[in-house]
Amino acid sequence: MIEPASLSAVPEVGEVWAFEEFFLAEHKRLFQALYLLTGDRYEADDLAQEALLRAYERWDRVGAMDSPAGYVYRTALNLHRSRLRTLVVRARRVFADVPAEDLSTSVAASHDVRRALAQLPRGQREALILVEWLGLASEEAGRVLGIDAASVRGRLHRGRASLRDQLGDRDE
Amino acid sequence: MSDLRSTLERGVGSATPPPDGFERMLRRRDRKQRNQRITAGTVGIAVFVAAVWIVTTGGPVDRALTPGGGGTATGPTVTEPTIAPEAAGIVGLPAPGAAPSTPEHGRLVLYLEGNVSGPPTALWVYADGRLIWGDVFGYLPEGSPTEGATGFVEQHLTPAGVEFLRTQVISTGLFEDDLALLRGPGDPPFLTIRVRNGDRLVWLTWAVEENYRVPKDAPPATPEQASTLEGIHALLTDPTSWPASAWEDQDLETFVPSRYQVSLRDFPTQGPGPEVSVGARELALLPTPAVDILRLGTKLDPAFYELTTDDARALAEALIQAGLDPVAMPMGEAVVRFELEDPYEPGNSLHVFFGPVLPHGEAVFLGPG
Repeated sequence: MIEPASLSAVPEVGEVWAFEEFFLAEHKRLFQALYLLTGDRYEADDLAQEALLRAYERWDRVGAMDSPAGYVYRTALNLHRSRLRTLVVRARRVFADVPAEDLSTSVAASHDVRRALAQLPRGQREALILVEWLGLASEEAGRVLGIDAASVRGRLHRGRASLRDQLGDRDE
Repeated sequence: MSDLRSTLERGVGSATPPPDGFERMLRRRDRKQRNQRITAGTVGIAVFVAAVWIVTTGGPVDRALTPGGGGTATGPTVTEPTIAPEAAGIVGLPAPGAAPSTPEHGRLVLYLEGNVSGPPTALWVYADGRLIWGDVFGYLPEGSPTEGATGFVEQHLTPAGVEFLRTQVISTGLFEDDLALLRGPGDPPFLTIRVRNGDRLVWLTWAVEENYRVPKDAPPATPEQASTLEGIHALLTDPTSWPASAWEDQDLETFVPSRYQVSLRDFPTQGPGPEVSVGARELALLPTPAVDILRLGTKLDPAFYELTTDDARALAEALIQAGLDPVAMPMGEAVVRFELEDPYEPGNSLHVFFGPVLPHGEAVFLGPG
């Protein structure tokens, strides 16, 4: 019998550096994707941290995958769904140094986009963010979401149409 | 919209993650490990106390020694692992003490899974009036309870309501015999309907070819059949269109199964590859308390067990205590799953699926294959 604890063994020293590179490459993009998904920067930061930590704990296996980033995106989306389900989504204002909200007028437009995204069904929002923000192909997004590429394209089509309807002429 | 990417950039605005992300992640890991050590220590003390109690009192040595076995000696300390707050309650398993849906068994009258357009749906209607919606695809009716969620909710129809739905489906004429129909490429993958017609459940599956739910030589749906199926789907997935007399109780309650089935499967962690038969060698990969709990259940085959809901929860907790994380399913979260590497088959993992048993005796599993 293997020791289950070894499944989440801390990476070797050399692997830590490889993971840190990966972290630096993915962290901001993942945070921003989750911000678009949740509309809450604290929640986005918490989800990003937990998803990246789970990858770190399994880096010996995740680092060897074709797409470690895909693993992290899938983990983050699943965590988000779990939190929605168990109603433990809550602002965790634990970082005093989080930048304050920008009160300039350009933020109104930013808010409109996030509000429009929030109106989309979760599946469409996830597909849009994976493909349009994170740059995944439909096939890869399908693997993250557990659906086929055609369904991803369907969600994208409907999501784009809904956003266009909601945001109107500003984006034409 | 000329450029969706620039729209999303506008949505992100100036948001950037708080600084020192990597260091914060390392501190988070330290906190997690510390909590796990504290829990392990607490469990060790509790088990020791239990052992002393058993030795000095001659207390029971059966279920009380297994996590979650209900023995008073081990108490709640043993059965409450440290779980990250987001996993509290273990997604897919009911809250401890939740009363199972009654009656335990029911006669299935109607079942629908899949979609024509809009979100895919899974629903079951029983002769006793229960209407169960499943979060098979990540969607449940608006207003579904989320506290102690199992991924399934139930409502209650009147006998007239059950008959209304059944006759609406039967009257289309598509359910005299089992029928497989092909959908066009690019359509949603499948729609499956089963309806009771006389003494038997007649099924119809309408699926795209690559979905393997229908044979390749199945006929494509005619425009009339497609239109009829769209109509059935629209009716069944829109309860607001049903007559008021159909409802006994429209409140959405968590469906709590009486039993779970646990399936052990060994297949590649990533990508396609052969599935390996699960036997004693693979079973031994599980932590010992988990194997003990599995043995409390009914062994349906070497890789398939049926457990009470309490024992299923104890099994999940035993796996978590051993350091495994529950893996949320990519499609919905109705079924909790664990995976651990199989050292005998490099690249493979042993997957432990939990499937709630519905009143007609069928367990609902999700996952590859």
